Amino acid sequence: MEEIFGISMDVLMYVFLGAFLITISVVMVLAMRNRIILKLGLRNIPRRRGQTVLIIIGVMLSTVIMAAAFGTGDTLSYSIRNEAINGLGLVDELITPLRADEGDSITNLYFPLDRFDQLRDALADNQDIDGLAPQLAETVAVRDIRTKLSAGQTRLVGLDAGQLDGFGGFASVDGVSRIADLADGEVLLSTEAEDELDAEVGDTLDMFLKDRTVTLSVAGIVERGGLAGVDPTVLMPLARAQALVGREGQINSILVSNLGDQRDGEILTEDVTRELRSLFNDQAVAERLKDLFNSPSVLEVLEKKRSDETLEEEIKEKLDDLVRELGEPGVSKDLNSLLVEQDLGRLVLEELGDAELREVVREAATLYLELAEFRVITVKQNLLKAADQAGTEVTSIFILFSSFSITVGILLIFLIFVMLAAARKNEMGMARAVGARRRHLVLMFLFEGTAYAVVAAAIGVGLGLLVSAAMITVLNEIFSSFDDSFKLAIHFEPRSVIVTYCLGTMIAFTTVAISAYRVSRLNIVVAIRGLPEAIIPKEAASLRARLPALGRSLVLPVYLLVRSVTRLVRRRPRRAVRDALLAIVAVPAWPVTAIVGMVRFAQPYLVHGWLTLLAGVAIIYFAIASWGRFSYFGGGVTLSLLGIALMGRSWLRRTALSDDMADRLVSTAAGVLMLAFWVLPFSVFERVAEDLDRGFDIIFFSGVAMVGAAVWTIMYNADLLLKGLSMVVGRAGRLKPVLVTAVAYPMAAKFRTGLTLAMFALVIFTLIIMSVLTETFSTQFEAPRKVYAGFDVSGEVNVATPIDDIAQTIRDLDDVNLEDFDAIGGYASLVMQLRAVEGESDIWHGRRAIMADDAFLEASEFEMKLVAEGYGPTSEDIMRAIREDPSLVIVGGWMVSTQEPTEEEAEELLLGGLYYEAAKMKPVKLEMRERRTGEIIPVTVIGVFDKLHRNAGWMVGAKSVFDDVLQVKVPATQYRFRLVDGVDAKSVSRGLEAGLLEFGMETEVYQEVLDDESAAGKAFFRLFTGFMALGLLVGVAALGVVSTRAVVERRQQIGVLRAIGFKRRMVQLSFLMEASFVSVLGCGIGLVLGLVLSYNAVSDIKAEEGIDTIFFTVPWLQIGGILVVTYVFSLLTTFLPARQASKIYPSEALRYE
Amino acid sequence: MDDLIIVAKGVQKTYDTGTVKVNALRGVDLAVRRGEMVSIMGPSGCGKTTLLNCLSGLDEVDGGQVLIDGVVLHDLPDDDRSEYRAHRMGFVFQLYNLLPVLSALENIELPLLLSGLGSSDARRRSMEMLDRVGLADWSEHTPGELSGGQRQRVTIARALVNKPAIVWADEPTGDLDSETASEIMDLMAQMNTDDNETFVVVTHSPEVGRRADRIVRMRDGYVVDDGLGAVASPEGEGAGA
Repeated sequence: MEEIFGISMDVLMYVFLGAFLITISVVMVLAMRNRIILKLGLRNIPRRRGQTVLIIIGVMLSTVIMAAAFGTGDTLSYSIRNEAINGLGLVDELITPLRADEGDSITNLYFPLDRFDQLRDALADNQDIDGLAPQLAETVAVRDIRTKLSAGQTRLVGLDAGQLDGFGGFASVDGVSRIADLADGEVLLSTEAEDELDAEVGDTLDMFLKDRTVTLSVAGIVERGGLAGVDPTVLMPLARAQALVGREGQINSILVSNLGDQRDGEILTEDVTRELRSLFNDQAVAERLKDLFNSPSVLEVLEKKRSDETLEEEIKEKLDDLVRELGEPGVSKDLNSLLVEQDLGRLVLEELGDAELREVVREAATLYLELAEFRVITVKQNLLKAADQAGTEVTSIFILFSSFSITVGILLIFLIFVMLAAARKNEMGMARAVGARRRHLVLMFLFEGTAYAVVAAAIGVGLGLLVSAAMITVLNEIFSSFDDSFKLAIHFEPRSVIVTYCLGTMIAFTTVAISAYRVSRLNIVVAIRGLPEAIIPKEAASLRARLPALGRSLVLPVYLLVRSVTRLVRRRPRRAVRDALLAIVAVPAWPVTAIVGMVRFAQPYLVHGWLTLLAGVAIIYFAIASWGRFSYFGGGVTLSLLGIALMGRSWLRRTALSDDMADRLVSTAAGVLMLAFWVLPFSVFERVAEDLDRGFDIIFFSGVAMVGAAVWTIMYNADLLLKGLSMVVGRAGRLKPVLVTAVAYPMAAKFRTGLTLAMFALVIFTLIIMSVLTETFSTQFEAPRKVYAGFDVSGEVNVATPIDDIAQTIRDLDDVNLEDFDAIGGYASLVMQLRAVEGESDIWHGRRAIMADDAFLEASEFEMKLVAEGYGPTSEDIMRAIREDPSLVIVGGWMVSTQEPTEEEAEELLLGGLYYEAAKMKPVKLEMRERRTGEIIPVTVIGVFDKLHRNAGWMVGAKSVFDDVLQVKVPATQYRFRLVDGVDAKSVSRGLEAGLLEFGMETEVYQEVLDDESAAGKAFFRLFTGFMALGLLVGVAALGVVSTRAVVERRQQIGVLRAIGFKRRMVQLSFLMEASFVSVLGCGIGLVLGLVLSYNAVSDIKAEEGIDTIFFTVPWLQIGGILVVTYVFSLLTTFLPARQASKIYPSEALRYE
Repeated sequence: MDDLIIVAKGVQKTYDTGTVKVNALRGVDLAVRRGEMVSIMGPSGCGKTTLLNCLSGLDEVDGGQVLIDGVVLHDLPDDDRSEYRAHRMGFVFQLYNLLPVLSALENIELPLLLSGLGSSDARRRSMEMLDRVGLADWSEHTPGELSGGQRQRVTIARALVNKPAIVWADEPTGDLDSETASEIMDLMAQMNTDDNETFVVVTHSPEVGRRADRIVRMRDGYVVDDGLGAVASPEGEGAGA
């Protein structure tokens, strides 16, 4: 994994490692200079071992979660990379033809072997390429005579034994391992084919070719990968393969190996590709393109784009090179290569289109398509990029999904130190009384906290990697339902370990630093006397005092440097050195100190409210005007509401109302308004925030804001809630005293209770969302007919062995009865180039198309979302129209925009103003170009089918449209079968595969596919849910910490309760009820808000994507299970401390101080 | 025989810290009449508080017997003992030991609720009690918002609200200035007279001791003077009157 959230992992590692080392160094220097404080801080660690263990567990949980996310991403990335490297071996690039000759099948193009020889000669001096091999690859069906097992889609690969230098040999498993050693009729088998056929050396194979079957003998078995591929493969000499498929003197691909081993070869891909592309371009076309672009109007557009700051570095470099090359004489290699860079070509055409240079675009778009004779596929680089992308995406998703749990983990660390501070309130008050400064208290906590952070993060990383190993085991189980051959191999990058460790430590350290600062503000007398409110609000300093402080914080390093010089001048070298060192340390911390300085300066105005309101409004403005993110918009609204509330409080405090009442009124109003804002569906804000981007971050921000607002409101009004509860339970008589104490304690420590409540609510909230979304999105798997247009079974045959008449062929089979089929359709699946006829876009868009036979068009039941005026109204009408007029086509829902595009947007789109949510449509005219033949066919779009269809990103048309136009063959290789009701799809599927083996028929039963996908989808979601349930662990741990701490704190009070008549079980019950109060309330808040947010999310997705087959579904049973498990676990965690409390002997407890 | 409410015979209590054994009570005999106010005095560490804890059932005894109103408290299961305390005893401690999270009124209510009294009755009686101790206007304040004397009044109100047979007070004035201490003793004496409740008061203070009907003196885990003329020597060779 190379990057996460767009930031390079290397950069992240250096930043976090740097921050960690600086922090640790500073702490160590401070420790050496304050040894007594260090001792005081650290002595607490061994004194209470149980507590230490608990703290370490609490501090490490967020690190565990992060390490698990990184570990899973690393493993995925590494495994796919490995698969790519092992699968491709020394093959780095693949060259395939782009132009079709007469006699070719449209999806399998051949070219003369002479072209390879020319290429080899042209590249003779190239030092970057160490292997070039001609290859003939076809897909055929094979059967092992001995085992009677068959493989319908086996690769038949022909290689020239004399041209394999640079590709390494085959790794022998058994028998012969060199192509050159094969006798006539002998083949090598890859281990992949060996597995499928259960073959052995010496076995005889039947290979089914068009119109004949040949018998071959297995001379050797070789390891999969490299030239032997990752699919089942039969290898033989090139000439023999050519003879078998009737393509003497022809090949269909060239393999390229770059200098270097399996891994390093890829480094040269860019250079090799550039070289190859320059050789494959039609120089006449390249010249014409160059001339076309070399006009002043085009160059002006390109120059303007070069100065675009938002352009990515990579594409900007290419654009710079292009402009430079256009100024050079002739067509250089570099220019040749630049002309076939797809991303550059697209950018140029888009810019020229924007500049209204329509004629240039139109001509250039076609020239681009005619430019190259061959395509260079950078197979290894593509796979390695995909590997990195997969790793990055998985880690990002896991980190984003676990952001709630990490937040909860941070709250837990904060809670732990709040409680530690409460426990040590008295001794800290004493320390302050005998002369300790606030700084000393901060340092004491910081030393202790750093020790915990350093150890806990290390344990957290270790445990996190174990968690990721467990998750990978589950992922392997999920993958095995699709692909047995791919297994994830557990792998952790040292870089990720360093990032996680440093990040974990820094999170803990920062949280400790904040809580330490908070603790240092204790009131000495209040602390010594053990009164409840030990933290005093800091009086705001005067403007005169704040201004210099602001100045210092804004230029901190400079200030320290100046002070250092001044001290040096005054001959105070030690202090001068200290200031100089501090100045160095202050440089990386500068942004933070500047922000803190500004906030401190503005604090009185922020507290008063008007500046907070102003800041909120400013954020709203920038969110809409330039940032374009809904989360910032929401943040601005929240801040504005807070500002209004603070202003309201200032005003109310000047009225006759008590401060408490004023606070309550204002806080409640602010909480309710914030909650209302975040609870409302996004559509409400469409008018003001229509263009704002709503990524996953919005779920995180709205989740935290909703839960925060709910907890805030409840905590400010908990007494009312409790009075109500008390009135209800008060009737239970004997329970009353237990209830009184059970609710009095959490209410007395509102901050602590609020924190714990927020943790619980957040965790439940995320679990509810995951459960609802899992259930909601699995409902789409329940409509197979919609997903597959009414077919039950799919079948695919090899291009080399197409079936001429499928119905007749089936009729001839013994084990399959044609009467079992209600309909059979066939089609060819091709990538076509499409271009709008109207509008301003002249760019060709590559889209996959189903070019179907009449039987398919007649039988398919596409769910039409839109039907053009004059056609329809039903699906049958549309299909009939296409059969009668093959120039008509329909497109899938994903090919059009969901909502109505603006006129400006519509001009750029392939299908213009056509959109999914529209009530009606007009026919849309397009041009369809078959790339390999260059033929252009006009087509008209007359309908849009449902997005739920599996191929809703494709176009569907009649195959017969090609009949008069194309010279090449367009064989149907895909078949769709609809069965008569009551016929067993599985047995038909088996019968088809066995009976049509010679065509390589492989089938799938759609219901099974859907079931597997549904199961795998659910398994993935469960894995995610399980991962996020780690947050639950944090929440439960928080309750455990609170309860354990409470028992210690209230020991004496427990003695009093026991003295005045509380029975043991009443004490226990009181603690359990206290925990229940938090967990039940937390579960309630999480449940309600989770349901609301997931409802909004589902509605939003439905509206955005126009998918009306998704239904908001609540899995009540599962949710009930989650709530019960949460409650039971929270009770279990509290049970031990509660039991411990109940066992305290009254006389002992009363002695305790 | 007098109406004895507390009878202790040969009560022994040893604390074992693992390394050291401390004989806190070495066979204490004591009898207290109903409605009597007895103060227990003696130097620090002589076993006063231990005796109070053992007599009230807050602590187990290692030997001897304690009868409260004829009931052998230590034979009762823990729950029954708790219930007995809830109905029949009140406690006043040196450090007040009020629940800091409850208001003065709620602190006083708690024993009544434990006795099964209804909420409204409990509130009414607690308010009356708070009025008797002169703190009617402070009912909604939490202990943290009250002075030491006020807190001790609340503690006394909590101890007496349930009309217990015995009130156990451990250094009730130990944390108070002399004037407030005197007020508290006046209050306790008044309750003792008005309600005929038995008071056992552990104290260091001669002034407090003098306010009691009799003073029991202890030393080294023995009662050396029960205030009735019976004097026991530390060696257990008592010379009865």
